[in-house]
Amino acid sequence: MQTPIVMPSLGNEATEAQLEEWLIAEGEAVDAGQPVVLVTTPKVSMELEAPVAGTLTKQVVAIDELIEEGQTLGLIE
Amino acid sequence: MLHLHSFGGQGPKAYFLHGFGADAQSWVANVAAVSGSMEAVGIDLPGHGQSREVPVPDSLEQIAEQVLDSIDTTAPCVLIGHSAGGAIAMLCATRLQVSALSLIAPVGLGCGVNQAFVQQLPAIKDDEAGLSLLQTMVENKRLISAIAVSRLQQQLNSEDIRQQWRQFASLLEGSTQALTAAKAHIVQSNISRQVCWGKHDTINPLLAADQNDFGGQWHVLDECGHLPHIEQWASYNTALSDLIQNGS
Repeated sequence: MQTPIVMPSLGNEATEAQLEEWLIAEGEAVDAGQPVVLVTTPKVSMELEAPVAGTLTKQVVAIDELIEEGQTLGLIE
Repeated sequence: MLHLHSFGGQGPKAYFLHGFGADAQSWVANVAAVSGSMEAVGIDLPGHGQSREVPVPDSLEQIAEQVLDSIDTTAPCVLIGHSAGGAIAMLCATRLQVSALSLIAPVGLGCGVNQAFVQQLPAIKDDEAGLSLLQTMVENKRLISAIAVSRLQQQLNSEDIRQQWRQFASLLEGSTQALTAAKAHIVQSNISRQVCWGKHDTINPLLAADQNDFGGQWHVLDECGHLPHIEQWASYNTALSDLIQNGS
């Protein structure tokens, strides 16, 4: 079963966010809670953690793409 | 009046008070922790963000007055404050019906503010110097992005803002009588409170004795500097949600 890495809510006034860096390559194993992707707003950069242990099977969003709340950034199986 | 940002949610208000050199947008990773049951409201402090035209007064107590003049003081609320914003939250807490107080490395607790840092911040001349200085706030250096440094530089393009920030920095030299009194008031109160600190904070280092003296729930996070609510935002958000829902 694939588990999505989901962009969290940044509040309803949030400015644009973009994916800055993948910290894990496709095909690489991750532990639950391990940082996998770095996203950036004009004020804050935040690392999103793997929701489950497994393998990052797909980076759905590419570096520098704009991202929205609830969007699937990647998949872990 | 200070500029307020409503970040969403309904119900009683949770007010977020940022630190020196930041603005309300610095809370975007944390507002979801409260917006399920409250309205999350970020406040731009004087000289910062969209309150940049509001002059920085002569004391933290006067900034607290500006905050109180800008918010609804008649209803119970939650206060969340980081660094200088933590000191202002403590000062405001003595005058509000505060149901919960969340402080992050607040001025007034800790070993004292790194004066070199607060004096250098308004004097940043270029992106390289800005990146180097901002990175001293965090353990995980990649969390300071080029975008954030560039935005900081844009704000500091105005000599008026630099002067405002120098004035703000001068207010962070030490605990005042009013802040000491506010801390004593909080200690003796039944306000549910928590304090979050990065174990490797070099801007306002943790003072172990505060944990007994101030009481409340303490969360000292590993691998964090002065921005634990950003460096480990998920852990901080869990603690903040627990405080609001359970008072612990």
